[in-house]
Amino acid sequence: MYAVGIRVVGLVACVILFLFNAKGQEDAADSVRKGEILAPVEISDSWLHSYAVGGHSEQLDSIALQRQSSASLGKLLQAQQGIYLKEYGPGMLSSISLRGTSASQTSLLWNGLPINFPSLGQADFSLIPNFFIDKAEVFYGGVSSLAGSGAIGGAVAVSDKVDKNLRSIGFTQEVGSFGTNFSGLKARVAGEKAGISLAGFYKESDNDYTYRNLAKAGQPIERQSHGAYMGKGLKAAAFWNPWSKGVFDFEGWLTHYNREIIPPYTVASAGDTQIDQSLRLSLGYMHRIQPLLKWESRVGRIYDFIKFNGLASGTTQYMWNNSIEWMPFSHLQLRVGGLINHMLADVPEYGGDLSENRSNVYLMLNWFPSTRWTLNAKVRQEIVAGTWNPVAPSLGADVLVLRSEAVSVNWRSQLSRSYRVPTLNDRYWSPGGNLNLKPEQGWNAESGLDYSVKRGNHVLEASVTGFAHWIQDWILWLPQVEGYWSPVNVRNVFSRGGELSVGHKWSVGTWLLSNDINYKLTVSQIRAGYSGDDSNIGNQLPYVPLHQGAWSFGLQTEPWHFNSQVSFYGSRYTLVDNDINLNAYTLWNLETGRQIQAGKSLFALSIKVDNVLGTRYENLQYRPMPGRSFSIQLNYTLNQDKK
Amino acid sequence: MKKLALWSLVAAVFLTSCGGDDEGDPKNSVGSVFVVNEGNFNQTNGSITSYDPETEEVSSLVFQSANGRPLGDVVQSLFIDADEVGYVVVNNSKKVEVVNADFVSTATIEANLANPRYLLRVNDQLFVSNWGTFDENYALDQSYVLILDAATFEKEGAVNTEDGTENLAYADGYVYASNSFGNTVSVIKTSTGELETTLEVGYSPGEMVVDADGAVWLICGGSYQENDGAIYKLGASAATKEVDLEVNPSTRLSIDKEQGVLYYIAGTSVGSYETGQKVLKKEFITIDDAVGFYGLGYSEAEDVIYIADAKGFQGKGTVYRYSADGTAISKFEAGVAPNGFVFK
Repeated sequence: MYAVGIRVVGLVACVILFLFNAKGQEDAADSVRKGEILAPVEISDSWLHSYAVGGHSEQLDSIALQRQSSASLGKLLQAQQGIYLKEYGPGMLSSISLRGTSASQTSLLWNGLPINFPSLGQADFSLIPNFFIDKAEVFYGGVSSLAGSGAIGGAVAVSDKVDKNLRSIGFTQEVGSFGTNFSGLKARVAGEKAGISLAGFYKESDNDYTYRNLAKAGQPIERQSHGAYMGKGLKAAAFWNPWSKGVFDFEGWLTHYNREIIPPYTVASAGDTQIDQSLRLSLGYMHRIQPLLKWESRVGRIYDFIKFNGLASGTTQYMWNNSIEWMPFSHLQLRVGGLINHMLADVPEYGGDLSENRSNVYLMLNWFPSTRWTLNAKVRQEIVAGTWNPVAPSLGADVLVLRSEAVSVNWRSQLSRSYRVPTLNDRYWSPGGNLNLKPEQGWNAESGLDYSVKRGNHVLEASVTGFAHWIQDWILWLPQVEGYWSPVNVRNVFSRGGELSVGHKWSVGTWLLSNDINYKLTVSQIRAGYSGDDSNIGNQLPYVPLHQGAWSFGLQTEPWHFNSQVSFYGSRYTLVDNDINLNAYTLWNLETGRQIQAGKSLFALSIKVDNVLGTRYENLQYRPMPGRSFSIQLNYTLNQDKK
Repeated sequence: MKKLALWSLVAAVFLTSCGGDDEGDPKNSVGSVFVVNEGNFNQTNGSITSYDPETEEVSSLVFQSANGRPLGDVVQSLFIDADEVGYVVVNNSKKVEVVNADFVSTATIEANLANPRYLLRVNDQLFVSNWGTFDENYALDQSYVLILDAATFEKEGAVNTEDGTENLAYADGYVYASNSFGNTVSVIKTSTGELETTLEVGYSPGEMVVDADGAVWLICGGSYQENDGAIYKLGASAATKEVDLEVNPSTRLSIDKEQGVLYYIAGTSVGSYETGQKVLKKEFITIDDAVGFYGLGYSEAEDVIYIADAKGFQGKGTVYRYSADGTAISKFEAGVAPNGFVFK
């Protein structure tokens, strides 16, 4: 770790030396799909997309990422993609569910490294600031062969890039309802050979919204008195091209959140607080051995600290990922590599410090038998503390069924096996931790069509996907005869459904109109369980809405823009007995703004109204959410060199 | 039978009173057996289920149906006094809901409560056991038994006890309070409202029952993984170990007063102990396809053992009814995490 630190300091120093020598130059040739291996601009995880053949993935709109820069990734996934996250209150724990799976069955990747909490197995999407992200992509389905453990329902990959030949500084200030403030500062300096990007933010909220207390006689309107939070973070990202054949990239995030935990309003005077602190460091080097052969090495240190009231626990993961990317023939692209993860945990309930090694090796192949076909095969083998997990293979195909000037139709299919290694809590918690747990396993089959058409001023893109997931050995903590709880592999789940997205853009004169619709159908049912589960067979999993979706409408004419986002979440059962069903709800957000360009300065002012209709809703039962809220944001950017 | 008739009448009145509105809720009649469903912590899905052994009718969410709001978070216990006033102790909501025979709330007691557990009425006083508040490191501040006026719910006193004060029993001028985090029982003299003495018992003392002779019986869960659970017999000045159970049982205890038989649960078995003959049957009843027993009750009126399986706390639990000779009678569906029974 110390060595990494020294290298980082060295790297940053070098970058600074280069800063003011930077000269704007022409970009190299555009990267083409097959030739991404040759691409000069490095995005640390772009290989994920290249090998996600046959599956369904959606990239988050980068403009939406910018406009929602004061929010968390969880908020954006909900508003833009219509993905349901369990939210324990505004600013509180947000856990994702993709394709009817649990929060720990989606893997969050940062620069290609898995960053779910190793103790809990899941990520808290309220702690991932959009302000630090340039790119986010959702990979649906069982993608363990691509993303490793935990990617049974899918994976969310976030990354950052440092554009070449750019010098800019930016400031964002937002003020909103419930005493919410956000201040952010960004600076980027980059030349052809090196660049650095720095960002920092501070966010706080009294979070003293009002809600209707359904648990009290007369259902009075009450004000939230225990939900204040603050978050702050620093980011540094850099690249350095010391010679033509190699490039270093670095990214570091330090985030700190301190939250009063909002209790259900049925709980009297709960005073829980939680501190979450994470330090994530990633340093990569890519070396082009030959034009079509490159070696990538990445070291990561992921430190997570959680303090719930007085109970503190920390985990550190040291990761080392090595891979070779090679095009031995013009029709074949392959990636072979391995990830070593050395985990350290300082969790009192584990009975002292412990360490565990989790490693995996993988092979990924893309074969292009013709210009219309891409066939993909991947396999990943994970070894946990010396024990070999079941191997995770996958097969995929992308077929360009139709391609003309105006219309293209692509058919894709994927068959894969996925897995999730039990969490450190599952394995070591005392009492109950179970070292004999098997990994959860999933088989996933899916198929879909992508259609796009350009006619005149219209662009229409549509995609439809159907999927079926069989998940076995689902882990549940159950009370044991010995008197304590222990995790066991007990449940089988069958989840199937579909995803539909339609996007339409229409430009008329200086106007641009856009509509994006996302819809997801998820039938996720228990197929087998422990003896007490008998009456739950065939029931929908709790907090998995059957229907969810979002509709975004945008209207733009320089310097103005206007956006409307409507998201819908169907009713959710609170428990596997499917006895209590929470009401469906629809949220409508509006945002409008304008830009003023003055020389090299760009001012952007925007106004947001969230939950325009003031809908009273509960994402989780008895956990109140806010009604209508307002915010105003001012953005200032000074671009020294225009790209 | 007279009681049953009375309850039918009450039920009829309740039904009639509900007849006019069109809330669409299933009409609930209140039976004579009440299941306390604790619910999951912080999920507020605790409830009271009522069961009528005559008609086998089950009514769920009895409180919610009568009051149009949830009962609260972690429904720990229910006590029904001789005037048919019910007291529902809601632990994590830190309140006691006082209900009439139709389970309509007539008062909510919140003052001076901190993680309340059980309630007992003795004459004109209510005794409420409280764990007290936890500090940020989850150490208890001070457990206590709160004494309230039964008519006004005004505080009349409080007795400091030891950590994790849980179950309450009354016999012969004394209230016994089991301190579940340690190995003691606090004995409170009701005439003075003062602590009389503290008895040393086994670890994790839990529920207590009073037999026909006025003796108090206590179950102790024992130390973690030591299989040293035991049944104790308590008097106002002494506690004696009656029998070692050689397991770590749940800390539930029920009694068939007439026969002097105690029942307890461990895993998926009900054990019995005949206090007269001193005969222990560790697996008096075993239900193989159950997941884990969480609540236990003995209906004197029916001579039926009620056993609650929480089924892993993932959803609704199941109640099994067994006759006193150990044969299965029937079962019905309870709420989430059924932890005990109250019989009218």
